[in-house]
Amino acid sequence: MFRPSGSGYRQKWTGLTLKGALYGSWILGVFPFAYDSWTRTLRRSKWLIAYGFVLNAAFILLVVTNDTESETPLRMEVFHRNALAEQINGIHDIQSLSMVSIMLLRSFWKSGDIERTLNELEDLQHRYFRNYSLEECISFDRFVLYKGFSVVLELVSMLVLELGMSPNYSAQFFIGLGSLCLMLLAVLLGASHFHLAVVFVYRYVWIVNRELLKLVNKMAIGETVESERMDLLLYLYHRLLDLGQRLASIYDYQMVMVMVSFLIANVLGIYFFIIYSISLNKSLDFKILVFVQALVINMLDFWLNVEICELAERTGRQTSTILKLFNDIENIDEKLERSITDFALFCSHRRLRFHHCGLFYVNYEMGFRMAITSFLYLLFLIQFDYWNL
Amino acid sequence: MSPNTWVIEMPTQKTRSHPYPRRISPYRPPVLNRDAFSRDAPPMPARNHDHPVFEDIRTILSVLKASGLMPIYEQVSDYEVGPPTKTNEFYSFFVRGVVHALTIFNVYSLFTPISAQLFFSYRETDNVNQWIELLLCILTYTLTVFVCAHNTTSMLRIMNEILQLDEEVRRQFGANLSQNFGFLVKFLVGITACQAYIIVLKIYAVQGEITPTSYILLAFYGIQNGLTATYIVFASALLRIVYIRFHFINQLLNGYTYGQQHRRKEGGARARRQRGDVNPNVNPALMEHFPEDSLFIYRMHNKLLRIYKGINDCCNLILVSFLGYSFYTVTTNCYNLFVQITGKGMVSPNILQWCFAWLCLHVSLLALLSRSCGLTTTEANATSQILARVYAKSKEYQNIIDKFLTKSIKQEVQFTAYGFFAIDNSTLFKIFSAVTTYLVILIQFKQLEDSKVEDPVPEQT
Repeated sequence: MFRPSGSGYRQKWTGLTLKGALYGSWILGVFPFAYDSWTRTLRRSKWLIAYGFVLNAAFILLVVTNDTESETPLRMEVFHRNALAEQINGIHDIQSLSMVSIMLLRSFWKSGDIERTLNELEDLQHRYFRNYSLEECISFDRFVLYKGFSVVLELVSMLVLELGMSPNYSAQFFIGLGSLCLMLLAVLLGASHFHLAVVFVYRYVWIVNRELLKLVNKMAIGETVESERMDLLLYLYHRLLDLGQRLASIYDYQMVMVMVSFLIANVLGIYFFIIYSISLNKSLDFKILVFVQALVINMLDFWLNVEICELAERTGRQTSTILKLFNDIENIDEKLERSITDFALFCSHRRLRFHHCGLFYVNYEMGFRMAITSFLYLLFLIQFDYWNL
Repeated sequence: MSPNTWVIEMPTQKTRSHPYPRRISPYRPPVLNRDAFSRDAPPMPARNHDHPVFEDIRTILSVLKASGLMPIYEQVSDYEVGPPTKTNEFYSFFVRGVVHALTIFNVYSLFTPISAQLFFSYRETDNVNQWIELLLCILTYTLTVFVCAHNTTSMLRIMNEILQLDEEVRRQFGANLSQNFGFLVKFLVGITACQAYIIVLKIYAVQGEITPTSYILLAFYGIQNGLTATYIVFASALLRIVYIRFHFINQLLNGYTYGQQHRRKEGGARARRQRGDVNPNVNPALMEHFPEDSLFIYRMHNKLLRIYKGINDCCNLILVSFLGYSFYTVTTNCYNLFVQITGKGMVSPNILQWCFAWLCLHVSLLALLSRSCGLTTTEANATSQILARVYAKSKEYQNIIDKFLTKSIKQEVQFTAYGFFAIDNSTLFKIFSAVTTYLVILIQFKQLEDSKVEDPVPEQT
């Protein structure tokens, strides 16, 4: 599964990113599975779970005990000016720490389900999709690379933000910063597991679509097509949709918390920015640049999360569009016609969508609504605290 | 724009065992000039290229071609357009280069005190608002130019697909699908007049002598606004073209519905006369032709959906930025109007006129866009509803109908703004409810600002 899908540079980089994510997750203890190459399956390892648990608990503890962030003069200045900002920042800190703990605990708790889902993906790859050419699926490579890149960017932006804002580089500061970065990396890798799995599902659905298109084109030039091929595609599609649904239910709390965290960080970031630049009347200098890059990278990462799910959803919708192309083909065999109808009915009743906690589907529409809501909250926040601005 | 690398290929029709016989159009011969579809009785001989393609929207196309937003394509035949020649391509490229140079100049003047004389209003927040408005306008237009340049080939492909479809309809039914787009041209003239009026108002309102830089800034601002509006009108016209095609196949299907078949069975000249009275547009067709026609209709429907999606993909980003810009302009102008009307001082007629002109311009454009999108979407989704009413007495007909209907369950098409929201008649309502919300917030801010001035707060808070 982690083998590059082709010989080009892009594919090699994709393979490298996937491997990097795998080894990084193993080292940070967020992927508690051992790979059995003989049976081609992942096995849950209790030792790895214990290792991950201890390691991440240590990170959290180190972050809490070595928190020098609140003493930075810039923050003191902003908080002195605006008490509300301090309160909200406190809430955000608590939310972030609880998000990290809940996310890790939940992924350990659900590791049995994750194991089964990943094994099924591996099984699908090995049994059915191994023989299809994967080189043309550019979006897959692109999104894997983007995801890897965004994790690195987040980490770098965090480092720049912390180093740029703090003037006193003590040993305690570096311990705190190191553990914070590792904790952030663990969280980002944990979240990226879901996105990488979604991109894999997308690639398989894309292959099913391509096969369907081939069948339509074949039939249009008068060649015969066996209904078994259509049945196999339906079977694969069914399994892929099932996998998508299971993935969404395994990672639902984690994803909701990560998204909420992103949104709060963005709203707060802009709010602090406004306090700093407008109410404290500071000129645009290096610190503002540090601030803005953190904001931009945060927004990009949030949007990438939405875009990956949208891509899978859109590809699922395309299946129905392709099935419509069978409409104007004459003299279809009755058995094949029945298979096509089954497929079409299946597509109309079940769709590849990612529904988190029964709250929302992750797609562009929801992303847009979230962005608008964040903007509204920002306005309310400013209005609420207008006297202090 | 779409991250998917492959496109849905339509099955070729070369392999059809037999060409379709020439069929009767679902429309009666034209009664009035306003009839959307005129059916020319004798088959037209092959013509030279004196008959330009997309003649109905020629005016809009020529404006867009001149401004580099559309490629100056070559007409290969009556039903095909080719890529532009090198000279024309260079011209478009040159125009776009000039536009970008002017944009950079304008952004530079906006960020420097050169343009300060244009922002003279009586309140500081208004200046900021106008400044943002100008920046948004520049952004929208620049994005339009970039997206248009990027989508040249897809636009030509869409045009060719529409022309190909027309050719098939003409071969099959002898129907010439065209419509009078005079309204859109008049609309465009109205918008230009409105825009010119706004610029004149602005020039009159500026105190002192206006510098050449300000003139350039204002003129380019007007042109940008006008061209963005033209593009939106063009998108509406394209949607309208697709609507007419959808409407044609829907009418074709309508001839096979229960009601029409029932009337046909009543027979006799009397019944025919009655039918003419009730619905002069629809000819009930012979059920025997249904299998043949259904294949044609299904194919057309697929092609039209593809064209519809193509148009959506081409305009996606432009529509999002235009809607954002429109929303902002409408909100700020409503706010200005509110401030003017409720303010204690003198009501400035200049600002009032300015606000009304902006509101008219943007509201009419929004209404046009959402109406065209809504119409086309409704017509595209109506096909399955009409098909569900087709009179299917035998198993064969039922199978044909089921084939389409099973694939249309919960598959409603939508014209979206980059997937963020659907654009149809409800969009107008949504935009105005959002405008109201933001207006309330702005008014609250104003009250806070006023109270802060009246009652300064001690420093220690």
